[in-house]
Amino acid sequence: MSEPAIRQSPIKHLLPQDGTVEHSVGGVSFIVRIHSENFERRAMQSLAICDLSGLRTLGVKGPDAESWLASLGIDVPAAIFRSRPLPEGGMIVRFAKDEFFLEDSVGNSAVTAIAARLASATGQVYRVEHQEATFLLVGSRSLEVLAQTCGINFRDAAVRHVIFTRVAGVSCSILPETVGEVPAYRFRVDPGYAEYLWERLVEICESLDGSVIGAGCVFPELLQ
Amino acid sequence: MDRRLPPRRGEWIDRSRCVDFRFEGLPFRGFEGDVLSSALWAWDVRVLGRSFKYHRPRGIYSLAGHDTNVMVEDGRRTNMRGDMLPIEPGLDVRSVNTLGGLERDRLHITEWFSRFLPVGFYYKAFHTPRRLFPFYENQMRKVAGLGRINPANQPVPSPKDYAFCDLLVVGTGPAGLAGAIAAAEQGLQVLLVDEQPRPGGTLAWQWAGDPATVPHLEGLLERIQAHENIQLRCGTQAAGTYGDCQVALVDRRRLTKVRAKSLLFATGCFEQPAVFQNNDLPGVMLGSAAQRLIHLYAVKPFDRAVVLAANSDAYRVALDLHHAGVVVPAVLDLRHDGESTDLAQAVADAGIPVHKGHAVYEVVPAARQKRIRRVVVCPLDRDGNPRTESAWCVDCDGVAMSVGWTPNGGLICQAGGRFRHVGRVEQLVPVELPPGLFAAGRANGVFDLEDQIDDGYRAGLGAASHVGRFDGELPASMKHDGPPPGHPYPILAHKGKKNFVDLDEDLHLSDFVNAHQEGYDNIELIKRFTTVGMGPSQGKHSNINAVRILARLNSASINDTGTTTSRPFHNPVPLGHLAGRRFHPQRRTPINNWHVQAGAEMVHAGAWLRPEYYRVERQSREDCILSEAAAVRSNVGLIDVSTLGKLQINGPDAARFLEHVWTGPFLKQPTGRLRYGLACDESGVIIEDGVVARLAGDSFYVTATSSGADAFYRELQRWALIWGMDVTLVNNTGQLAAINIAGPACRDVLNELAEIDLSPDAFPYLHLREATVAGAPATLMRVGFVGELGYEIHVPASYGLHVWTSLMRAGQSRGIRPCGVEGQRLLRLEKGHLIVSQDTDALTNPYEADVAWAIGKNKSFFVGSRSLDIARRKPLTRRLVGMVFDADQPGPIPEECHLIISGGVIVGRITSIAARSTLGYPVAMAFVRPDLAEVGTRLDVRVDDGSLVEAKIAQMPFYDPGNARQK
Repeated sequence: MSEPAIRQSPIKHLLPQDGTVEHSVGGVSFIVRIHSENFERRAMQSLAICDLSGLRTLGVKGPDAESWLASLGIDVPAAIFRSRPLPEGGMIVRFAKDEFFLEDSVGNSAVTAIAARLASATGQVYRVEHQEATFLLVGSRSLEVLAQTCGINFRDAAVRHVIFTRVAGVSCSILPETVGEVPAYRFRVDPGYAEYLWERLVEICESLDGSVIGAGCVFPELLQ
Repeated sequence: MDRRLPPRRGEWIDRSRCVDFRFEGLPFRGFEGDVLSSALWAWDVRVLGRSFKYHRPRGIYSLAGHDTNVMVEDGRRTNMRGDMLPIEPGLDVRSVNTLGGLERDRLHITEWFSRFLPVGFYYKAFHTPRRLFPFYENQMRKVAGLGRINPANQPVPSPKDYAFCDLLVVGTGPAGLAGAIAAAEQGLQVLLVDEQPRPGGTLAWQWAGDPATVPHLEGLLERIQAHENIQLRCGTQAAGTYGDCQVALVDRRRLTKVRAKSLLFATGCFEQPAVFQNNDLPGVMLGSAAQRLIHLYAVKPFDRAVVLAANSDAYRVALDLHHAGVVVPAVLDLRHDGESTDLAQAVADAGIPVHKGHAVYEVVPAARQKRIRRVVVCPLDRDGNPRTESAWCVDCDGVAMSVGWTPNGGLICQAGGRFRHVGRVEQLVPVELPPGLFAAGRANGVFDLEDQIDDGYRAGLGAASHVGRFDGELPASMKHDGPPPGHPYPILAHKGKKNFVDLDEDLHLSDFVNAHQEGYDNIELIKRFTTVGMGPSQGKHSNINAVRILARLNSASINDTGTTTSRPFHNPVPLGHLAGRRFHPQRRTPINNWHVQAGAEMVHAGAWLRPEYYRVERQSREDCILSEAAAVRSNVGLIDVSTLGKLQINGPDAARFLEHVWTGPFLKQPTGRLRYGLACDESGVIIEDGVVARLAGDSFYVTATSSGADAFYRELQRWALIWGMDVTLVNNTGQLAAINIAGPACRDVLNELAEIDLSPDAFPYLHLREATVAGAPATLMRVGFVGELGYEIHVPASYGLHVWTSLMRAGQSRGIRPCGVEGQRLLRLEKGHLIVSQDTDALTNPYEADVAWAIGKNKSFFVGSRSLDIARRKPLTRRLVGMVFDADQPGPIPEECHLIISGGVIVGRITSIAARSTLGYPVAMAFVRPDLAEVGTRLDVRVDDGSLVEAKIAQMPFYDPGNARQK
């Protein structure tokens, strides 16, 4: 009766299937390489997009959420929309006064452990399901893609400061960050709109000579 | 290229790059940098287009992007302006709006009937008989119009993007350049745009015989290019201004929405034509057009030209023509006092005769109006009227007019700026500008070159001050000092009625006089009646003359007469640019791709894409739907219900909150139990329904309709805030997949995957359990929407596809089938379950929908309770009932929304119907008058062809009335 449950990115079927390298993390399969390493590295410098959907996530909401997270030793961001790295990798983002979002990085399972402890939490702390698709737009021309899809000026956006906005008509959050020295923007979108948004972003990227690349460029540990 | 001048500094053409192109089927060669009009004029091609109404030949007039009689098409794009279209290799264009080609346009005959075609004749002549109007309209559109759209053309998606800056400067003339530099020096990020392909504005082409103009411009441009805060975009027009300093920029490829912190309009002026007989013929052009030809494209405009003057610029034109080798036999100055500046002496020194108080009364064309033969000159009396008895002629092939300017102020008006006519410049000048908006240069009524630069600098500092980057003292505004650059009334009457005021629409002076006589004495009315300013150039060369004419007819001032309203877009914009890239969000369930692979016919359901049914070879749509439903009834089916709203309500006040929002009782709902939930708005109208499950004492899980969930969630948030209840709301709609497995064999299938006891005693009907299904964490609910034993399985979205495919695999041996949304609708209809917003409308209350049983008997309050209390005491006006039709019903079966008729009167309408059901006969839900709602009542339904189909009111549910199967 029991079988291993397979999680899947909502846009898995849109990614190239042949000749790609896959790696499974936490029950979800990431496409870690699509083109040659050199090509992907070059693309990442200029303009590229990759699918990071499937990292373990957890939402915590409620009047006692902040104190509960703090009781676990988590350095909770004080300001809304600010993010902080988790000690073992991954990040925590404050979405509202009483709402937090946590995401694992590749190779750690801190969020899974926190989720397990949430079941026995006392007080008003509630789990919020987060199954959003996650895409990473990376490269020096990323701003050109954002300019065609979103009315926010990301040139002035602070790194690791989440922005809730609409991209190509779809509500999503964007986290500006850097991959090495290269600017990058992490999109999180309702999985129902993932396919639509991915297609639009790829279409615009390709019109700007960008490429779809594997997640290995962002998480080299996936390639090991 | 016999009219090409020797190379000159500052010219825009690249003589090292020849460009071959075709016009009207003939080959031509120009240079890179040429626009179509300049390249053709260089070959002495004078007729470049035909006019809109009379199909008169037209040539270069403004060469500033407003020559809307010179429009061409290439089979893919249409209505491209010849004075803005760069030539490129392979360009092959034809003039729009001709019959038989430009040279021999057969529609030219319309001019013969021009005396019978005054403005307004359409309105008066073709409104009766009404049935013929489509014919008239069709014929008129054929003879009067612009280019044709090629429907076979596959458009290339045009990107739209956003840009951000501290200051947007529109116009790269002296004022714009100075303003950009001033602002950038204060640290502002400046976006500088110009519609022309190169910067410079008037500095690029108004030399007045002074070659030092070019180094002056180059010096400014060097400073612009050296400044890292300034981004220069040429070939980009500001097409519209909107609130909060937003401006639409349009270039050849895209539309950019600029969000600026401040705006500086250094947009310059449009030169205005004089009105005299035949002032539209090829060879008559604005002085600035002649200067552009000379300095930008190195094309000699004429061989022998008369200059019609009313300002200093005309004398500059005369000098430029003279230096370009054009013989200028006369400068005709409308002013009796002539020119008072040094330019008069410079013209005299060049040997050009000046005739003060004279005007061009008429242009005499050569054969077929394609060239000018001579002009008739008249002295003017002190009132400006021509003394025709003293007329004389001058042979020439061109007339250059320079009689006045009007500010390019449309964008300023759109941004909230206000203009007034000022006598010292004889033009409109901005007198009121909203905060953050600045005007400089000619658009601001400042004409002297050095003054323009100072004015631009002042405006740039003003913008810096506005955004908080400059706190010093701002220089004072500049004012024009010298003779007015415009004439108050450069308009001459002529009995020939070819003295055009608006070349876009072929309107001449008497059209305005006639309109005024008919009572159109207001500028907005006369605009609508005559259509002045409604052509493609939007009145850039006609509006101010129209105002002058109306002011004189009304014996009023220009300020009292007013101007028309400027609205975006300021210049023609390709519709493809407005459409842009296709952004129509579509929501898909996690199982969507499986449906597509399985041959589902997908259907739009609100924002969602859902499988309508799964195609089976050699089966019709109806057969497929019926067989899917039959599989559920007899065996087991799988329905993707991920689109359902899935809301979580937590907190100490959760139960009380539910009591307030939903009509039913929830305070005492046991944990792990489900109840039907119905919600109304304040007026008692049904807005939502679904299942309410209690997960724990302070935690509920609620489903809502697919199309209404998001709006309902917002409503819940609103109520939570209003009531100040301690609840935490979460919308999990997209985060969870939901699968309904239903049918007599569904328990067996689920048993193979679910780690839970599914026996009826352990997991009864209307109960909820947490378990794993195929290894995925799941919430299971026993529901009966389709009227069979069934479970709704809710899992995190990323597991959705895995659970679905696992269930399909597990059910293979039991003949499991996927069931689409149409099959599901049929099944629920057979069970008599309504769908909110399909079987209810924006006025339906629970009593009408026959779901009053869902209202808690002892509740003191819920949203809509007071309205429902009133509704309960009133007689019903309609009721939702079941209807059945004969199985062997001949003829068409009714459809949704078909009307129900009794005694020749409409008594209701069908809300849902299934032409074929698993019961063997058509079933429907319908609203009917309550007195006709008795079971067994026979009524007629009117179908599309007008015939009546008999139906009978029946008890619902049609299927399994005892609800035994789902329990």
